[in-house]
Amino acid sequence: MAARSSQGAARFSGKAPDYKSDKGASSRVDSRPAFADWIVPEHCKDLLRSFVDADGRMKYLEMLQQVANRKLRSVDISLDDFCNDFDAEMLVQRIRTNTKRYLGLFAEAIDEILPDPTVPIDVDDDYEVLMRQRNNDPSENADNADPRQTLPAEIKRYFEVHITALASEKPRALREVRASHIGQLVKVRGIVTRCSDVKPLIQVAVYTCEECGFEIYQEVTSRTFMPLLECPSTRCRTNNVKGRLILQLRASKFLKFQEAKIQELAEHVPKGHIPRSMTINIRGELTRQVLGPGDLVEISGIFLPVPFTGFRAIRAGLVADTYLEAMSIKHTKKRYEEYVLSGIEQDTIEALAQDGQIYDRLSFSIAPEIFGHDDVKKALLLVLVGAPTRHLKDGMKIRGDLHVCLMGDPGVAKSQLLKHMVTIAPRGVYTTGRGSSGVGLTAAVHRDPVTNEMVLEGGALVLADMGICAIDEFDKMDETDRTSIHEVMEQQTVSIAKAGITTSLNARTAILAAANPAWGRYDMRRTPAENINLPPALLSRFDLMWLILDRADREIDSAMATHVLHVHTHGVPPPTAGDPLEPSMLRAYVAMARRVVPFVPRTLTEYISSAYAALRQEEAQSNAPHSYTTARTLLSIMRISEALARLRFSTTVVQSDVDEALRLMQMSKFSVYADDQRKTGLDPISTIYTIIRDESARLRTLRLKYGDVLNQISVKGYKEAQLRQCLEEYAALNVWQLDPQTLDIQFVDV
Amino acid sequence: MVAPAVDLLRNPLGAVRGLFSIAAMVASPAPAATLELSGGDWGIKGVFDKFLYEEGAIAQVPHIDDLAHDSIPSGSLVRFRGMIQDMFDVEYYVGAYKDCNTWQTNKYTDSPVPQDTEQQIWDRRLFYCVPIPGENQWMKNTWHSNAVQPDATSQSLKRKREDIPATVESMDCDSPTKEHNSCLVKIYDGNDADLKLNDIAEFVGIVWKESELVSISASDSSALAESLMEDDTSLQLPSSTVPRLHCITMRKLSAYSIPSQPGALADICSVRESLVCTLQSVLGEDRLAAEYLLLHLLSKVYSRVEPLAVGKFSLNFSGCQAGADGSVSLVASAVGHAISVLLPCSQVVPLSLEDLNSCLIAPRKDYATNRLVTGGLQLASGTHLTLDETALNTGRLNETGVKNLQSLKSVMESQKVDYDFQYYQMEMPTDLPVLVVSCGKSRILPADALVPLRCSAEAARIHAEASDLSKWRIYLSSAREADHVIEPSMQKIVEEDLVAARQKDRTVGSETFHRWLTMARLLSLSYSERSLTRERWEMMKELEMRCAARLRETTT
Repeated sequence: MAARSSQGAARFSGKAPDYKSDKGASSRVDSRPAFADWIVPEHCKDLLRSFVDADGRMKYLEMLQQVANRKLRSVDISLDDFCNDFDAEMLVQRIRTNTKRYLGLFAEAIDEILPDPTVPIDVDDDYEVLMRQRNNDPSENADNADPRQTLPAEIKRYFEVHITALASEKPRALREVRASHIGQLVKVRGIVTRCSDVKPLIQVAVYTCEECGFEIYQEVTSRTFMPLLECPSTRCRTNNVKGRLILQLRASKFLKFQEAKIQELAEHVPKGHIPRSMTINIRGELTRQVLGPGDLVEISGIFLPVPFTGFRAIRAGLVADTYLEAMSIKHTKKRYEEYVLSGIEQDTIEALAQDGQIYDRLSFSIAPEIFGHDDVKKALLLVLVGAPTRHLKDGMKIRGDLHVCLMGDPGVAKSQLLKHMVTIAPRGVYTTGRGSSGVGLTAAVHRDPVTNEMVLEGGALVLADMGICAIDEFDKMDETDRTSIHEVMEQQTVSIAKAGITTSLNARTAILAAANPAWGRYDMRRTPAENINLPPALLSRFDLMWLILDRADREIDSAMATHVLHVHTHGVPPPTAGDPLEPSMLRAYVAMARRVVPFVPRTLTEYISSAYAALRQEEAQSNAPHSYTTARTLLSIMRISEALARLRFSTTVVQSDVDEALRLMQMSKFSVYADDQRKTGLDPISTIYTIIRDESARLRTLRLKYGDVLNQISVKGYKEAQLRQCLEEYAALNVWQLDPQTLDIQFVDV
Repeated sequence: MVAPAVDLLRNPLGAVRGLFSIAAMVASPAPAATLELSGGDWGIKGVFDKFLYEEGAIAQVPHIDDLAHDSIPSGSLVRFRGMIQDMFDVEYYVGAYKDCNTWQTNKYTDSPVPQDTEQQIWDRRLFYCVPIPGENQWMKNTWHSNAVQPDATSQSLKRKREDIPATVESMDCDSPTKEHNSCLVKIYDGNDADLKLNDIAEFVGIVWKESELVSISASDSSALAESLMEDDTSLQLPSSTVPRLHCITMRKLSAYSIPSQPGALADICSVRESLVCTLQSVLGEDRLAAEYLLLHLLSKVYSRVEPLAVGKFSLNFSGCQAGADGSVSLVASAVGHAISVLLPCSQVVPLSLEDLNSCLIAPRKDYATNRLVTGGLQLASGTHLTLDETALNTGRLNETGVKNLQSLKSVMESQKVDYDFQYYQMEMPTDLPVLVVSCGKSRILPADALVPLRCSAEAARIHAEASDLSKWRIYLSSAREADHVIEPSMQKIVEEDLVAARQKDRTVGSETFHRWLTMARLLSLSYSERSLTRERWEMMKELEMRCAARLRETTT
């Protein structure tokens, strides 16, 4: 290793825990001699002095001025800033692989170039008094016999230096950090499992000698230190008096110090392994940034070993413990709003959005292993996307979250759909109506056994704030929870007035409910209302209500048999038509879509209101109304259309969105009332004919465009093939004539 | 590479050091080269693999738990067979140091290195391994009789065990003090890549113990232990009770497999018939139940298609009487005993309310000690569980009890156990065939198949010749391992059958389909057939029909 000519550097390396410069691992310090050590401190100074950020400001000089003015304690040196520098790559690489050393070098560089304060500084500060005194009589203390008598640079410093990793560096999983990373700057992600209090850590111990009165300094770099007992000064030694040293707590320098443990995130742990953990040391200004266990954090820091001391060293055979000395701490929150997309994800999403089939592709990617249920999955996709919440001028809030209820026979994979949704959503809570915990769905007031204070504990709905709450066994819910769910579903708050606590908690969540019919299985002999067994007030709050029945259908049965057989013979599910997207990709796409705030153009309002009016009309005509078309339904249409627009990343809702929304609502009703329709005796072909005839009467025209008719009938839930059949059949009867190219309809005027 | 002329058995460390010095010499004297040395293993594993497995020296390596602790000197070659119960964090150690300008290695030891030398820090993985839970005595004997050991003759395979099978009192959580016979295995060079939690493996390596002086100081460290850094797990596991094994080579084992199978069985059908007859007598002369039980014993999860575990076949025997005052019911104990002499690993668990309520059976992480607290469900794949529901009486379940039942349910439904890491749950796939013995149909624990027992005689304990027993064991083990296919022509027939069945009866759903296909597969395997035939398919339907008829009788 090249000899260091700089006095400062030599002193530093002698005392600081500079792992790299120790004799032990010299092999890992750069062997390239091109970058002689003596120019490094100069270079560090230059870097700090000359750096100009994108706004043309001298970022570091301004920072240093603030440090000099005692306004700032931590100097964060970002590696990103050096990327544009000459032979930047090499320098950044050197800093990253030998960070501890460069921290010292930067600290020394700052010592030298620190400007004078531009504002008066409080002179009565302990620190100031001591520093002034030390500066006044430097000669007295320095008989220079022992390095322990020179004032260490560390005690003079009012600042700390942090080097933060490149923003572009991908955070690692804990298990990717190996012995070869020792001494390097690494960036990891994890969940905090334990966290200590902030404690003082001695950095420089200061002693005074009883005999000679000199101040003796001892830099402490480990967690434990052996206090000095004998004065090392020349005077004491020549007089052979063995002056006793007294530790001066006030003069010593302490540092705030906190320890934390982080554990690997669940998604980083390979199947069948135990998550690993790592100790984090947090010093100075970074303390108290980790709030407590359960926080998701991204930490960049230096991975360092601590050799065991004392008995443990002997026992453990010099096994080294390791820790990460934190350089920067960032909380990562798993919410759509904070979702940061990587470049690749962004590109993929944009490519996906170009693809016209994105709506089908995304909905298909929800629980791809569950067979069929295409429209249900579409509805679930819309639950994920949601619509923006509207705040009206008078303080009213219109929710944007979609609520969907799945009702159906046992064993139609309702629960699996629910569970899958919870895993896709960044924040999802799965619970059952008979929630196992005492807190239940909403919130509960507890008496804390230790402090005897009343504490409020949020239930599933509160925990799912800004996410999705999947409630299984919705029908078996407690009466009390069911009443409070009314409030959650429309006002999106939970109000509590218990034990002297009255408050309102936010519960801005989309509710996804699953319920069994009233008698366990859907009973065909009874009316749908009897089967559903939920009060209308609750039902009307669901935007979509789906009934999944287990019907005898040879096609479905045989598909199921093939599926099961395939699973048993090949050990994999049969290949599906399109390849489903990864849940992470789905999440990223939804996060992106949720940023769009679509609006309904004025031109469409007419169309929506007429559709709504038609729904109301239909209901009024029917002798046994199954649906409760209310103003809420209108809002539902808007919400679903907006969610659909979001999926296209479009800020304007177009007519096709509204049509699809109406179709979904119709389909959900069809799923409930399909049997009813069968009883009325009308086959789909005649119904389509009726629709077309009514349409022509409404528009007072005998000529209808094929595209318009197709829209009309698909809104009512019929297929294109049925329309074609109808057109042909009635054309044969000479009711109308068809344009051979466009299939436009011309009624035969009678 | 020239293998050094050292006795690998007596002086393995000598061999390691010899190989290292050769490698260090070959590598250039530049200091950077030592970094590369840490990556390779200098041919050590190859040398030992050849010596142990090709030359058959493995038999001469003593088992660590056969020997009294004091009798093993540090640095000798031993082996240990066990289940990985916990994985600790990576350990960093001084791998090499410079002693008088030559590099010395400290790999495969815990010995102290001289201070003030140039050092290299390398890493190694730590696995906490325990003797295989629920392993039956005959299996232990089979393994250990292979080894050269003085008391091998007294524990020969032929010794017939008349005492109680491995009946656990309850699925209690192990107290951390239960470190009996466990071992801390240190693994080098990423050889652990395919080892998972709960895997069974045989590790061969160098045992290392620390001097007595040091183990005393463990108590001394309590003052230090207040900080978070000090929750080092090795502190809680003093090497005086938990030996350290520096693994040189290892092989993964399965809980199904029996070592040293003497060739294939001659007449599969007669072996099968005799086994079914024996099971029939165990089950009070119920032939149908015996057939189901045989299929159940052959079942294993052979693939996973989320969320399904394909191939599992849990069984529920209903119509069993509870044992006198809370003990295991007669059927459960007879079946449990039979299984314990037939399968390598098994457990009988009476589900009593007190046990369910007292402690969690799913493992959880204890952050105070940074260790995994094991539970009754932390078992190696292939361990058979007999749950005796007749021991359950009415009462209230507390939160623990509810969680325990949910864990059992998730094992039966999807063969997964949720390990509680407090901040999140980790799903661990397992493969535990579960047999539920209950009075009526078990509604708490949903089994794949329900068979009401019709005992015409008392359930009796298994009585069989040792030669028969070993034949059955080999039969079960080989049938379990075998592969099976359904030919496309057969697939068509099966598919049509399934659709027809569903058209006839709407209650026949995908669950029934899965059950039938699993049973058909197991039936074929039980006749040692590798592909499904029409005959076995019909046989399966016949079994199902008889079972369904019984069910109808019981309900009316």
